[in-house]
Amino acid sequence: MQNNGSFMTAKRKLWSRRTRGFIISLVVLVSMVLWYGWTEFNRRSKSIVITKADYELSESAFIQEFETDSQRADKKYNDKVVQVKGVVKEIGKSKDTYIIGLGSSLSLSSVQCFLDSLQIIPLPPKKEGSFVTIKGRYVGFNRDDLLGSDIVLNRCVLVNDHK
Amino acid sequence: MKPVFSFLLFLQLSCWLTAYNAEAQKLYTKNGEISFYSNAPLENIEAFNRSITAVLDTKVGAVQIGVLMRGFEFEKALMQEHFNENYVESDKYSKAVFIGSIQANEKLPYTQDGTYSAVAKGKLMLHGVEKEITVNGKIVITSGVPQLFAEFDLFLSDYNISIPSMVANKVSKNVHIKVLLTLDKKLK
Repeated sequence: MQNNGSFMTAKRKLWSRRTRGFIISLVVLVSMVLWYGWTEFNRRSKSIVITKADYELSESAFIQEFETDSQRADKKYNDKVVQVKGVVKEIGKSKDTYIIGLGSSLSLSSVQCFLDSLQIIPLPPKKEGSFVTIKGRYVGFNRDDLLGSDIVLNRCVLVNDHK
Repeated sequence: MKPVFSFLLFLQLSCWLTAYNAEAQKLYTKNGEISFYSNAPLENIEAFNRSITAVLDTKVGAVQIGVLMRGFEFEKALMQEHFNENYVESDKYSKAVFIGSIQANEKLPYTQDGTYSAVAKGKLMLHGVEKEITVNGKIVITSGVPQLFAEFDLFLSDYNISIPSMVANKVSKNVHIKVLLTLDKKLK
């Protein structure tokens, strides 16, 4: 009888230990899921400054790829970070940031780089005709008979100063 | 023979002049702005795109606007991914295009500074669906440069943009769109 009683007590202790362990594990698991969900929900786009470029090439080679086969090139660069070297063809202003067009002044085609608005640039960062390297996320390609072909990059950052 | 030659020369010159005049009326931008806002119980959604291409022929009022869908930037990366992958499917439908015209264009004095009401009517192609729309807006002309402003609502269901059933009651079924185009460049 006494043996039976102590067996029951031991069993209850084991149960309560197991239950406690289970509850703690559950709480830890739920917390981890909630934490992951919360950070994922509030995740910001990774800064281009610290993102390694998927491709590095010249503006002319970049444009050439799209003029040869725009569909193939669009698939290749879709959502990729591209670092482009080229001559500043034009500088435009949009609200609080700048748009730098890279390309030859003799051609209608260009690489349009929309600078990241988080980069505080109070003055036009470069003069037309200067040589720059810009890193940005590929957005798309516009082909127009009147306006020419444009490759669009956004969240761009200036990588290097070429004197 | 001489009158025939003169006539042909006149015809050729007329063609050149017509072509020149037609082109001289075309204004464009490659950095127009568009934003959308959606008010919903789950969360308000807002995104901006600064890479709109637009051409306006002031002579006939023809407008063409192209928007690269992947150019929309959201505050949160997850929203941007959902927008591109689950809603507008930007890999499949990379561009939204509006082709239309400004109504009663001949009454708009493009050379005179001021603010004028305008209505644009045309076809909007979005997510593989083409739909006739009418947009009310205004044209502000400053130093001869026209700026086009427009605000309108779009219903997602009109363009077969489906909302996942899990969040169907928590996400707004329409979006409010704002467009600003500064047509400061002339086609040579």
